[in-house]
Amino acid sequence: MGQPVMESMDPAAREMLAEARVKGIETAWDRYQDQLPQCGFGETGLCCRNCVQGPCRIDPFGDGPRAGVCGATADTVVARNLIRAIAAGTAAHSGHSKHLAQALKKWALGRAGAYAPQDENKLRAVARRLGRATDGRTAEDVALDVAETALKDYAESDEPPAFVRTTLPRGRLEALGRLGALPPGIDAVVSEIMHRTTLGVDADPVNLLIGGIKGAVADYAACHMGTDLADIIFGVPSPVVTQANLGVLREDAVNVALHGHNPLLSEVVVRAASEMQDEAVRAGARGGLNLVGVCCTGNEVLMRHGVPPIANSVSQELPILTGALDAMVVDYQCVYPSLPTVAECFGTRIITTMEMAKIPGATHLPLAEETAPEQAREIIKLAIQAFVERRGRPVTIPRHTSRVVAGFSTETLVAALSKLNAADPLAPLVENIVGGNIQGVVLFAGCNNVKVPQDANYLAIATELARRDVLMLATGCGAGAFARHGFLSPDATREHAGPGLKAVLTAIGEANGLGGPLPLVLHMGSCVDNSRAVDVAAAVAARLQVDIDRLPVVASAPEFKTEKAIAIGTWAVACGLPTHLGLFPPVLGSQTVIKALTGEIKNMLGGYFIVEPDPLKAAEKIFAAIQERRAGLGLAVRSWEEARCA
Amino acid sequence: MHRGVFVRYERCLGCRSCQLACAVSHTRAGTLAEALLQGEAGGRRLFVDQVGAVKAPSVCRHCEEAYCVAACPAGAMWKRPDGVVTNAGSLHQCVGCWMCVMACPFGVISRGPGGQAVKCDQECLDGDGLPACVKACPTRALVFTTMEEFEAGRRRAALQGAAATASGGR
Amino acid sequence: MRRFLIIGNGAAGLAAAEAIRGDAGRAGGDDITIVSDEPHPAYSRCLIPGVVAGELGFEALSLRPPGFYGSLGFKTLFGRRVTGIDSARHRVILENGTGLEYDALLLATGARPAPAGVPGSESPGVFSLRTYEDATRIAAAAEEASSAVVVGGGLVGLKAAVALRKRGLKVTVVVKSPWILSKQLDRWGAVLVQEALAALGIGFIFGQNPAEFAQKRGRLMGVRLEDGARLAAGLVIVGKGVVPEVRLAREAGINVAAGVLVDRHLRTSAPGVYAAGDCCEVSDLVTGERSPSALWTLAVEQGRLAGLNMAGRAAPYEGGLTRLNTVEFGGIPVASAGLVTARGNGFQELSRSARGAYRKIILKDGRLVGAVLVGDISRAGVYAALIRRRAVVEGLEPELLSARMGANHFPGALAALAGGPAVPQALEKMES
Repeated sequence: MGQPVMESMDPAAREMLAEARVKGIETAWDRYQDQLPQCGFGETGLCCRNCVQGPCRIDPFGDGPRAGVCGATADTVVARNLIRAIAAGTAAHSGHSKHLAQALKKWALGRAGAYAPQDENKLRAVARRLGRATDGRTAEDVALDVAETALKDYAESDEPPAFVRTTLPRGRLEALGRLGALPPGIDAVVSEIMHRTTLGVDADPVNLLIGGIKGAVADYAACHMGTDLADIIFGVPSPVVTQANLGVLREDAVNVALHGHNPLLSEVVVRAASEMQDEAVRAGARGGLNLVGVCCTGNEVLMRHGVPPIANSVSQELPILTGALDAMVVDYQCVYPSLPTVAECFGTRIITTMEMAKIPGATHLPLAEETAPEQAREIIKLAIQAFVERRGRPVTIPRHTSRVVAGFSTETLVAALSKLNAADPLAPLVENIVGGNIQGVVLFAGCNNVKVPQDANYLAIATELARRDVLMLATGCGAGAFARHGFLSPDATREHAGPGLKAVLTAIGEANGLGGPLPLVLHMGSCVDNSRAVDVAAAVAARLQVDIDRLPVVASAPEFKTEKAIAIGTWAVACGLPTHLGLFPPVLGSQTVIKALTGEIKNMLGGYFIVEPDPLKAAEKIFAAIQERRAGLGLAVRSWEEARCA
Repeated sequence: MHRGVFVRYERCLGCRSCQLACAVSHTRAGTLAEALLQGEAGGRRLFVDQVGAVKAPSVCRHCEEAYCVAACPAGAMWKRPDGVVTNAGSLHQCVGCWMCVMACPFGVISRGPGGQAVKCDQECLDGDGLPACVKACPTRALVFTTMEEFEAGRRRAALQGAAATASGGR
Repeated sequence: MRRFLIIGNGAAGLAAAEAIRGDAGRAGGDDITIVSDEPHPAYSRCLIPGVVAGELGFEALSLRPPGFYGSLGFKTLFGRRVTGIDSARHRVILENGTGLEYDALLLATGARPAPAGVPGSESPGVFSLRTYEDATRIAAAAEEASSAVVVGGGLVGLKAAVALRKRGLKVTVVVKSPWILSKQLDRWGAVLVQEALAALGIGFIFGQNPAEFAQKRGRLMGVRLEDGARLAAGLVIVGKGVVPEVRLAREAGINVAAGVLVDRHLRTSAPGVYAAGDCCEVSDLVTGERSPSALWTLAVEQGRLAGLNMAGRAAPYEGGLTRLNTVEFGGIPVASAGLVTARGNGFQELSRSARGAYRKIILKDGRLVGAVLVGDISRAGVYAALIRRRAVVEGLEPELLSARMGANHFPGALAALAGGPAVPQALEKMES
């Protein structure tokens, strides 16, 4: 009968879930069971709540209502709902990057000393790319210019945002322009989507979808801005070696989890923690302060400081269940409101830090850029106090850890490749793709979703693709999944990689003095850092003198859940990538929308959606998309079966 | 012939509209808004479960040899002459011992808010004789009919489907 | 015209009489006689704690409407005791010496309270709670008493304790087991119920049995426990379970173990003599062990089947769940079926507690063998049916623990029970 009960592939998560059952504590998995059955109208995108004549629901079987009160059909309702999700995702990512731009601006004006750029080279490189002068200007001057240019991208303008114009290949910009999908500004397009989807504006499903793609391109701009500004302020990541998973928590240390998305918070906490080690030891914590990461904040501090990632968004409640977590410091996005309730039983301090993101039951310590270091110290003090109160209480820390090599920014990757060919760093990558040692590249992105056994789709797809010589990159919670299962390690390359892939990763690793291969999956950062993968793709495309939509590069979000993921998935398609989704997005109520997104869009942008919940079939479809692209470039192709034997 | 609520599983979207309507029909307020404002809980008498990918309503079948009637030690649960199995209007009041909850293999009897068991009692029929849950179903997954009619309808649908296939309708 | 004789007017006897009469549901045809040593029409034993509490009178307990026996043509000999059975001659003897002949006889003699077995058990003020008369006597005694001791933490004892508490008595429950309801609940479930009972003002002493019911000048003074502690009490209710009433069967040479032994058709070892209900032993569907069960639902089921068999409509009895209980104390509903704890290797226990509700399932070889539900008993019947039908539940553990599971999850095993319409193939496939 059915599948065996499996909530997570991660043994540490399973141990904690068993603990939750014993202690009578509800987690996301329990609440999901309580939600079943979930409403089919919502699942299919056929419920409209955009006006108070509704909620209206369209009967997908056709013998109930065929239109809402206003006359909106299934196609209209589904398309409107979908692009509102894109707008929400764009609002989130762009809120994140706007926050970074404001911090950089404040530093340039001398008001936020904590956010002095750690990488002036990147500051000047980004400025030059944006068309700003850098010669002879002070860092403050350039930073102000970059910050203001970034902030200008939000408002409506005669031309698309600079972070779109200066990062995408010309072919992409032309294709998007032809479709009418170049946004006039980031905030402007979020606002436009809310406008066009309100009662009685846009009813044409195709027009709505184009509006959604425009929103997704704005989301891309926001993500790229987020990556660039974080690199400028906090430094360009380079490879770090550390451990992942709950086993890194220590009974005798003050354990502080950093959770959320924006490094503006986590970076100052990391700094404060390094200054306050002694204080923790004096309070009786022999292990001192032990910082750990959750979600994308976890990725940010992993790749810049080697802070171990221990959980993803779906499993964010589980670290608390160890009884050993003294504080969880959060900013925004993917932070479950359940945290204080779970924490109640264990004394973990849940500390919210953003004015627009409070949770009842949490301690709120608002972070201001001007006074961030003091606030970070305050946070650490609270954690130490929680540790003192916790001492002597039993803890349940799963033993599982896995080795992680993370932090492959675009710059790092190019630098690593340049060890093989200093004059033309991309040549080794391009030659191996052409020669077939690397069949193609897959970027794993997105979340964990309670509807999929945690990490199962990532692991199954990656295992199949690795043995077929596909180079894999990962960001966000996808990267977290691979981290906790040892896929971000050279050992995984030895175990899973096909011969061609193994040879290439080993050559790069050894040329860089690693004494072994690069990890099987290359960790590129947080979810905004999907932009790094586009930069790599754009560079490779330029080197091959084609557009991105001809490269054997595919994106996959096999366990996605958020509106942000819908936005990213859509811009991946807009960038020309076949994009796999491991769950059905809420569009099944409209054949028009399904056909547009999985078929017709291919003719206009080259990218398209592949929806396949079965991970093995998904791997096969992703591989087929890679082979189709290889054939298009006139490269040798492999069949699925043949590739397996190779 | 006794009519009951039957389920066309393939149509259910799991929206729970039937449950809401059922609960509302068992309130004095009689409307969702009024019932919510007055804090009145009617107690829904049918369930919607998720079975794999299928959304599956569970309804009382008003069994011929009803397990709940046999199990009731209070003499409250009975089968009315019209075939409806209910614990209302019988010899004795339900005492809330919950043996009927335990006896029903379909799991469609609940501990009600008033200390008495609640189950489908068909006390919700409208002027046309339709139950609240059936009327509320937006996809007509629930139908109110006799077993014979229901089965005949399914056979007709299957035959029409087969005929359409045969005539090249893909 | 056949002559049917039924000894006992409880759940089993009544169900048998109705089954013999059959679908016609009216007088005529076979001769059916019901003998009972209790002077009343059939009543609900489960409700007599309400009499103790002063909340219910006899009318509220009656199981059938007035005129019921006559309308079905049942002859009744109520308040009459049977003193012997001459199974060779198909005759029973009443206490006044009258003989009654039968073609088929049903022993539905029920059970009687297990005695406390300590000095002073015969004292005035020491009661068991089994019959309506017991309940009225206790109610009268409670008028005079200010404190009571209940011996036994089972269903009857606790219901009696609640009833006495409602009358304002100070009540202490003395329990030998480490927790209350040890036959119905595991420790954690029991704690939740005990908390609810304690909130009503009922006190508990665990790990103790009474050593003596102390009296002075013909008046009950209190209870001395095994450890020597003394509890003052003007009233004691002994609720240490029941034992099958088998005297008649044993004296007639019918095979008896703990209860009267019956075959699949509920026949005893004597030709033409059947037995059903609390007086007989049945094998448990889960454990296969034979034991008396003392469950209302089993008595009804056995009585009905015995009646059908007696009437010649062969109806085999497949056995039942000898543990199947529901109750509510202090707003906490409880339901349990089958095993309440794992019985060694090969068993798996899974539980979930949330928002004051506790739900535990016990599995063996992928099949459900026990369920304990406290605080939220929704869908309890599905668990009982799954246990009874030995359905495979592997893979559905989260649903079983979340109460979001219904008969539709087990279409093959459950959905066709009432001869309902076919379930869709998609559902059938789910089960395999």
